[in-house]
Amino acid sequence: MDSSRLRVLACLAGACGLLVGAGCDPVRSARPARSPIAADPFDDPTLRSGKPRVLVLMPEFPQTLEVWASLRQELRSDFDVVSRRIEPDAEVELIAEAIASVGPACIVVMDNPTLRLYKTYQQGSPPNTKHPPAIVVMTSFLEEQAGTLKNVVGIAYEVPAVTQFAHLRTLLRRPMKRVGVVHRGLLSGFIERQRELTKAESIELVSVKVGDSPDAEELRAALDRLVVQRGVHALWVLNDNTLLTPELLELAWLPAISGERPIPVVVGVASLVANSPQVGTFAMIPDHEALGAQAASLIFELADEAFQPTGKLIEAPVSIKTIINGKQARSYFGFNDALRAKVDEVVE
Amino acid sequence: MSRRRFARWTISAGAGLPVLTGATQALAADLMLLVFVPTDARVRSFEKQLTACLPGVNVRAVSRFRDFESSLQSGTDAVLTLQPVLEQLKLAVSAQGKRKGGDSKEPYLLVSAGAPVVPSTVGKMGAVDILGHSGMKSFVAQVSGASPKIKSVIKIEDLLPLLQLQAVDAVLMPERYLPTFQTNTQLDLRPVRVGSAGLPALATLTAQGRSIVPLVHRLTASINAQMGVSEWTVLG
Repeated sequence: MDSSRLRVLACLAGACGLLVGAGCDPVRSARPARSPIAADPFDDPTLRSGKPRVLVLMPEFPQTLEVWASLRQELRSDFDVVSRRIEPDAEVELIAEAIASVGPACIVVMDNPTLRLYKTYQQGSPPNTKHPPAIVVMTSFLEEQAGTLKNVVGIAYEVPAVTQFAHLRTLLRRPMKRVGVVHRGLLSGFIERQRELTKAESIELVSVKVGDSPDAEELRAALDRLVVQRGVHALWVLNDNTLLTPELLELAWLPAISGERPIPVVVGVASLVANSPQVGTFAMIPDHEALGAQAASLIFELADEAFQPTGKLIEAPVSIKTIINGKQARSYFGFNDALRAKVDEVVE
Repeated sequence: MSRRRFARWTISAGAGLPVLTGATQALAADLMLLVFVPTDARVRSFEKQLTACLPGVNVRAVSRFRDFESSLQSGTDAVLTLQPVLEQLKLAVSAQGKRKGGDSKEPYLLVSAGAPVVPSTVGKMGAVDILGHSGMKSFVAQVSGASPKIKSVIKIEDLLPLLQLQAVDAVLMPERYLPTFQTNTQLDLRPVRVGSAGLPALATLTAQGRSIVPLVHRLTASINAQMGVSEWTVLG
């Protein structure tokens, strides 16, 4: 492989917003940038008497700021929204101090490191501490983590397979009865939950499990099994950094999807569609503006229940943004301009 | 006359167009139209379509009620939004969108997956947020006759995932979207007809904004169809 292509692939993998793997985080792996929003989230608002307070614990990243802006917009007439910046090296005392000084009716916790810190705070609190409900957003595989926390509700960050595949079916003029996915063992539970949900849409999720550290040969064999032997109608690429290394992209993914019969590939990060070499045809990613509105809706529900959470604790994100590779989608998969209004971005 | 208006007037007149036409276009040049009408198209795409058939009008479309509220405070000459939104904000209707036959309201459905629901027994209902949290409670009660917990979304298409993920018992939506939903899903959708709600309408907020009113007749059939409108009636 020439060095320039390797560099491109390395950048791709680094920019993925990868979800699974040591030290990876869906939010912080993205490039930090100043907020495009008008208000500074960390300026304290004038507190109004009688208005419940929502404490937001968050890092300052484009994605978290987008969620924050939407959340605050929805809440501000009914709640005072007070926000605290949580850096990666923040001490747990920062959380204790913020909760003590703000006295929130509920707390919004954004991203993995912030959740880890909040968990440390809870574990260090006296056993009889009454924690306000926390709404967790933008963290990886929240359902797996939620059981270890007290009084936590939230919205998972992974876009459900059923939402992605049903939307994909509306964009393509071809059958969508079997979708293939390669995964490692640690995501078996997640895959099973997705499989159940896709059944309702008459879509079979065909999965092949690989080892914890597969090499290119093992991954290529798994992909061939799905594409050639099982004849899946699309491939779903999980945001798992172990399966998306530059070497695996070059030696397994690209050859497997560049066969004689092109297959639509759905990815969870825009860079895999937008940057060359384009692995994905369709990127379906969480809509951060809608995620903020969904979190606000959850807070209104909590308020209606006097901040005593009942019912389902972890929701799935309901809204997605779709980015497509226009050339591929048009050339191979029947995408036409009449469908342009149903996608958010077409990369040419 | 601003430089921009003057330039537009000069170009129109210079092109041999009647002076009056040039002046009319010039008047429209600095007009602001704020739009909040949920459709099944992306908001930027919808804005682009509106801009194309309203030359000289600065169209800004937003997808959320709260954005609409805050944009209103920033100032605009006219707004195009659903009639219940105008009613909540106490804005007078200058032009009303109507269905074929002249009805200014459209029928709504309560749609569930698997088994039909009795509206009064629905515990959790999905709906597009057109009025904010408290306004939606009244709207849902008025249209569906129920007082459920409301799961608000910001796009019409997001109602379908609520059913796919079993996050609600039913979703409330205009009847005209049912065929699209049926095309887009294999779920066994069960619609129950409930009440009706007002179609999009135009309200003017400034004296200048009145010149936007007749322009509703320029909206294409495609744009009107996306809003559930067949014709427009200019009032007053």
